Amino acid sequence: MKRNINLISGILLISLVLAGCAKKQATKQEEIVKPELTAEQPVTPPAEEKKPEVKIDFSTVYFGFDSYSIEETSVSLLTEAAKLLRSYPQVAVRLEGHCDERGTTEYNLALGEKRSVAVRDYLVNLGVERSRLATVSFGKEKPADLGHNEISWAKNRRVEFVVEKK
Amino acid sequence: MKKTILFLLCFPLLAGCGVKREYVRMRDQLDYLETSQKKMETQMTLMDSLLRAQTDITYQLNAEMRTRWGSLNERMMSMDQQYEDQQSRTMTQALPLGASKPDSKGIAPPAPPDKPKDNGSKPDPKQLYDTAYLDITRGNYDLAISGFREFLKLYPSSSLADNSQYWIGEGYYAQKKYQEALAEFQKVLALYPHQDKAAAAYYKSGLCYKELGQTPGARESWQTLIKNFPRSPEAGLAQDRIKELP
Amino acid sequence: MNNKKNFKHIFTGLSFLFLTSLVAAQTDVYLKLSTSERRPIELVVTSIQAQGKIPQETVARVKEIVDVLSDDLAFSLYFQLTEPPDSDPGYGFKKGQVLAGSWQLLGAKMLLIPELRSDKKQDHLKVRIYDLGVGRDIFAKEIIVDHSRGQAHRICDQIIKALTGENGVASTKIAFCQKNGQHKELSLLDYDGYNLQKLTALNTINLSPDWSPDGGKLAFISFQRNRTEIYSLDMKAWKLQAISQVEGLNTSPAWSPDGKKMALTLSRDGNAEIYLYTLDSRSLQRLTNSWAIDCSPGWSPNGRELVFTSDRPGSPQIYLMDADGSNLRRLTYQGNYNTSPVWSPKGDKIAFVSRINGFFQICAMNVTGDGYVQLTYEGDNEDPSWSPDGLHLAFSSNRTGSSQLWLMHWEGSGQKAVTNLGGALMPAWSPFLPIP
Repeated sequence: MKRNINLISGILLISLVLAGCAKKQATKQEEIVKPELTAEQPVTPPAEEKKPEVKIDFSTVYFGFDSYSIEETSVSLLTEAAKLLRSYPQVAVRLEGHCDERGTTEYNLALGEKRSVAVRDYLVNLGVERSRLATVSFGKEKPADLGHNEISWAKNRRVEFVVEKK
Repeated sequence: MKKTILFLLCFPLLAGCGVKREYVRMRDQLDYLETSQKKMETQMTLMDSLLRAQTDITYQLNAEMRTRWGSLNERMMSMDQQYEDQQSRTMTQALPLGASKPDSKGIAPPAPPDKPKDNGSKPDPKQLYDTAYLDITRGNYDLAISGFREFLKLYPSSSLADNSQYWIGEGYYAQKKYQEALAEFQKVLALYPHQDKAAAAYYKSGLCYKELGQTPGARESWQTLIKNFPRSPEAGLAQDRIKELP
Repeated sequence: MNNKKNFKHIFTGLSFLFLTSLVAAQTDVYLKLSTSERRPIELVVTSIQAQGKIPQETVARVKEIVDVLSDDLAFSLYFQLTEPPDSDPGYGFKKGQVLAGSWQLLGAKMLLIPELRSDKKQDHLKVRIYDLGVGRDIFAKEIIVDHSRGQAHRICDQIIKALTGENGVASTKIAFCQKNGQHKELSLLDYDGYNLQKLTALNTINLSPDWSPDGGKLAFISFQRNRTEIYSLDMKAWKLQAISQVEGLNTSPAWSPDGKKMALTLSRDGNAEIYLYTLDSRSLQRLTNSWAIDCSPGWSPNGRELVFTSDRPGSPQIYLMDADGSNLRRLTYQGNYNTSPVWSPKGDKIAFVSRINGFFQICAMNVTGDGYVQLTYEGDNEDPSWSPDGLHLAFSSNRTGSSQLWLMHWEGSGQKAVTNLGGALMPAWSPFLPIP
């Protein structure tokens, strides 16, 4: 039942977004499922993207603290990624920007966005169509490494490639 | 007869010899063509891969250059911003409050000699200014306006004089008294045309004109702003507002 | 070079100011804050005066309510509570009459006298405030005890209103993000950490709750569709409404004080910028325009100015601007990481997060650019949110290991945790709520 509601609301949302694209703002009403205060339901992770049949691996791009500039060490990696994307024109990717836990939530959301945009712009400059590169920021919400030291933090300041279409 | 037969018999052989020679020659030629084609093919693949590599390098250089240029540009802009912040900071805080600014162009009322350390009669300028500004943030606009007027009366040549004049305008604007607000913002422009509140005063003058239904005035204020302060944040905002004008 | 020198001077100046203001603050906590110049009133909450024979058990249960009231009054900063002597429950009374001298001996100016009487099955609690100076009650309120904490909170606010003319915060709530595995859902607490209510079960990450000024709605960021979008939860109609779902970032919702507009951070033009969204007309106006990150807008109480974070000088710093985008000024010059600014409802201070020696601390300064004060010193501290009277701050801190909600007074004193959950962050202190 809940799933149905989610599905319907999802469709509603999408259609509204499509309708509202020109106006930039979409507004909608939706019933919220009133939560039960008692039982804590086990959390199911959001549905994973379907893995494409063509196996394409992209390496993650890493960044410095509070930085969104592409480092020298990422250049060859991004060149490879661009080559892959140019040879598989049917592939679209979502660039997910992340930050380490040091930093405030809202600023990190903006920082993650800056990072994913930096990677996108670099790939566009390498000849990949902008329309195939979506950007999204998770700020510090989804760390790759749960540790609280420089090694973990360095692993979390990143942009991950997620293949959306093949 | 026998001879004829022999000849006839030999002819194909002889002819065969000639054909064979021709054939060999053609084979050679074909071989040559084939090898040269192969050569050309390898050369073409080589050229192609070279070209590809070149393209990659070009792309990479392009990306590299754009990124470096972008970050350089950003670094430059951040240095600019730091300089501007520091400038406006020194303007509003570091300068002794009594000192007049260098670029008043003689329009500002002549500074009366500030009596130093006249603690009894004069309130502390910083305190007077801050109190008036806090009244603005709390929405006590009339109190704020009289506070800033008091400040201007006591410290007309202070580095915060243009700020005070600006906030008087803002005090009226917040109360939707656009005619009064416009007059006060115009005073900022007349008395302190080159100081840090000028761009904002142009912008606000335009908003006042717009609220009063005087589109030409609004347009002119914003155009002057864009001309005089092209790099100010207000110039960008003015461009948006001009587009919205009927 | 020169700048550095200036900075040092200013810093020494500031730290000196800070020290002197701290000394002053201890005696005149709300001298500067309250409209009238009053000191906190020395108050003693006496033992419960039972009228007739009442079971000890009932007295003990009513005592719990009185304790909630005492905590509220002490936290409010309008009162300074002195403990009565434990040993003698009859201390300071003679045949029901107050012996003023014996209370004044303890330094008290006023007494809170809880009187309890029972009829049939109802317990009546009368709360009297007795002014020892004039020798009479200046406040009295009788209730039928329902043993809810809310009842005590309401009496506290009534006392504060009657004695100071100000609104108290004892009946306010705190919305926040409660960690649940990988998800963060919105929850609600009484301001003192009791009465936990879950608001959402969206099975995703939800962040940055922000109250509408009438307290009826909460705007927040939700990752329901695997990206940042802004929604508003109507807490009466129990409806969820999408506010902003444009391409790129949709973050940091901030309702204007008149409730008609919302300041947002969007990156639809390629880069995080601050926009003003008018809710009725659904029109969008861009306020900032820089290559850098601009985010986390917060309103001045008069709704004419915004404070926000920008990394345009190369590191995040706090800036002010008029709410139309003009008149930009930089506020912070200390350190190289200052974010999450919030403007005090009193108008005079801005609290924010600053990175100091590698840790994140809550700091505050005057909107006039002076009076910089570090308020927290242990662990990482984030997400400051002002109480609606501007006298307290809620924030999140990981000083005990996991992230929990904490409260403190405006000058940093009285820090206490109000949650002990799996993880709690991003508190949003409600406005004064209409009394149900």
